[in-house]
Amino acid sequence: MKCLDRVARAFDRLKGSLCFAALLISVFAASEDLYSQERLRVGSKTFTESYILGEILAQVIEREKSAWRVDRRLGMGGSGIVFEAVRTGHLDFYPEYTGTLAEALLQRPELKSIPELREALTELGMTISDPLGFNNTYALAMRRAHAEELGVRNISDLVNHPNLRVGVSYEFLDRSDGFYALTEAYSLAMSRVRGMEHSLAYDALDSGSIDLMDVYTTDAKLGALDLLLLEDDLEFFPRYDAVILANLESTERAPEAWELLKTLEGQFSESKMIELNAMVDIDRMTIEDAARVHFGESIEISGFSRPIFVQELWLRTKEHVFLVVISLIFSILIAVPLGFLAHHSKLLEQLILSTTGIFQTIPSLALLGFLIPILGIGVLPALVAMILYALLPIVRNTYLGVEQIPKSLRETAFVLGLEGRRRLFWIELPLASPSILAGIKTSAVISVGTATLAAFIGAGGYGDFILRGLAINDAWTILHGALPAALMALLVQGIFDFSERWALPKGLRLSLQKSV
Amino acid sequence: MIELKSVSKSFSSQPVLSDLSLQFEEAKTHVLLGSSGCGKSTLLRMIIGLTRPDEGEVHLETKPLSAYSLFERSQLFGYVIQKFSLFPHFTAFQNVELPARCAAWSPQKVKSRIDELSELVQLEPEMLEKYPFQLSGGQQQRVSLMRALILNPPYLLMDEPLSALDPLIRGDLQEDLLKIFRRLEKTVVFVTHDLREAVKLGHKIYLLNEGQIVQSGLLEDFQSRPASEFVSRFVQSQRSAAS
Repeated sequence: MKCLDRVARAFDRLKGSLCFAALLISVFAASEDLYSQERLRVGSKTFTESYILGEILAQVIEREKSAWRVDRRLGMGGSGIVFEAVRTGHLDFYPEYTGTLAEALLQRPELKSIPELREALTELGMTISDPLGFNNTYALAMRRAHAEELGVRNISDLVNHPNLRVGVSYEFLDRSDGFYALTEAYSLAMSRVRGMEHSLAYDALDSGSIDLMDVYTTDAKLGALDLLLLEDDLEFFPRYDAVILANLESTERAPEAWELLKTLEGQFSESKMIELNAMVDIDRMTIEDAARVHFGESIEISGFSRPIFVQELWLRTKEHVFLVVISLIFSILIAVPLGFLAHHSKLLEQLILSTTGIFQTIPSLALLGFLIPILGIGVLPALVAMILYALLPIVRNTYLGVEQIPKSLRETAFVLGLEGRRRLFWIELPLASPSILAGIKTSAVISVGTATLAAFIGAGGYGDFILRGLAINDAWTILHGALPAALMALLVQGIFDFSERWALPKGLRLSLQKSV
Repeated sequence: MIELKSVSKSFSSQPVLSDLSLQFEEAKTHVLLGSSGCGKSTLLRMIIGLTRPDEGEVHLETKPLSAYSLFERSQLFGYVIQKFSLFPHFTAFQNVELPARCAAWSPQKVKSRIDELSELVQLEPEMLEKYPFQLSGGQQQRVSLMRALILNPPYLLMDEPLSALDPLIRGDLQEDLLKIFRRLEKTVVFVTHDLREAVKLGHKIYLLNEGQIVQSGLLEDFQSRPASEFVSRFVQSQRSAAS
């Protein structure tokens, strides 16, 4: 009777895992679809112009009924990440600038002409189109009234104003044609410099909380805000002609698509680009619509009633769930055994708890950055980073859970001759399970948050909305990512609270309830 | 037969047992008596292998204890402690059957043995389906005893098994234990700080103080021929406390 009972109970438990396995398989199946290779992958960096150009690249291919389906990886990350993605073949095309290529990416500022650049890129398995037509270089901007008040017109004039508050984008700070290099070239001694998100810097400048920022010469807001672009009197900034960067193999694999992309050469003047940027940044048109305007469609601006991106929301949800579920499963498989191992000796305890602790202290974006040279971009490095982040709460709670088993029960297990696997599975694991489950819950909720960062390296998820929204300074788009992510975190918490009913041993759960 | 050969034990250079030799005869109830910190529990833990002697040896039927595997030892000893020895995630039944599961008994054999034991320790069978936290202290100790006895080990070691119970329940359980000991005729080593309990249960009492046996025998011996000043004082204090 007892034996049958146990079989029935085992089956009951199995039923749960079967459902779970089915869920996993379906998530995997969905991901197969999401991450398949048989498409042209078009990327962009994380600012409006790059998004618009990326979208135009995608549409120019889609408009001709070519055999290629376009997979948009817009807003994938900073220059380094997207460039690396093309080099390693994770991405086929994206819009880049000649200055960025020479100064920051190839780090060969002597390369000035398109043929020189193209030759250097060919060695790396890449190529570029001819210029799209506009030069989007850096400039330094101040509020016009403020600049006039101080009598500042050229960048050289800043020598007399070292106390101006400077807010520049992170990328601009350190690049060889960036802020620090500029201050050297102009012998400036600006003392109050900080890095900030580019789209936020405009608001900061406008509201007077900073005095000076870096802008791109095609920024949409240049028209809307009354700013003065300081004259680059020493001709410090190189040219930033927009071009299409492509993986050489991709141009050979899809020559007709490459030809379509090359029809965009010479099509964009600076004023045209400012106009397109303004449609998105100021008129709040969607990026897709702005790109359609370029192709001559007339688009009505709908004003405040913005549509919810239902289809994309569903896609991002699947990506997000995939990232969270898969990373959590691997963290559990790694962390629970580590937690038990840490219990075995003082040395292992130190080693395991401090190592997993260190992962937690690395800023998540930095960790993603470290992983790119090793694992490239996309889902794999995102999963690895998320797994590393989720380890600590599970390891620590497993360790504490085992540690907190009363001495009397430990000794009883010993006296009853329970060793090895029996002691582990019959005694330690069930007794530590409330603590382990609490650790898993913490990790799961954290993972929902860290998964939003996966978008930085092109792994999708809700972070995609957030990044794009930040880039075009659009709360509506940000909400598409932030709100579902918050809801998912709550849902995960709820699922775990509910799952305690069946995941914890009955006697333990009831006795815990009683003692509360 | 259990034999301790001049065993010594210190905890952080504080001697707990010093050069102690002892033999426990078969089929008798031996009571280790003394106040807390006298080393009586350490002695019991040494026999069951939870503590190793710094010097000397514990012998079990002519072989040293270390010659037995953990599993063999679990078949030789039943062990009952004061409290918190039942696994909270198992029902009383599952707790009792644990040693039998390790020994790979058939469910039928387990069932009939548990029926037998619940009658012996006078625990209502329906109590076996409950979890430890749903049982009273006395019921928990009866379940503990069932678990200690399920494999029918020749030795039963009990470390203050009744000390955490109310006086009334404690008296009842003393009576029941006495009957059980008489019926089973096992070699019992019973640790207590209570003289009356020792007198009621033991064939032979060993009075410990500061890690040594100061006198062994029966209560009459302690009263008529106290081996030291300590013995008469100990007997005296327990009498006055009881009255």
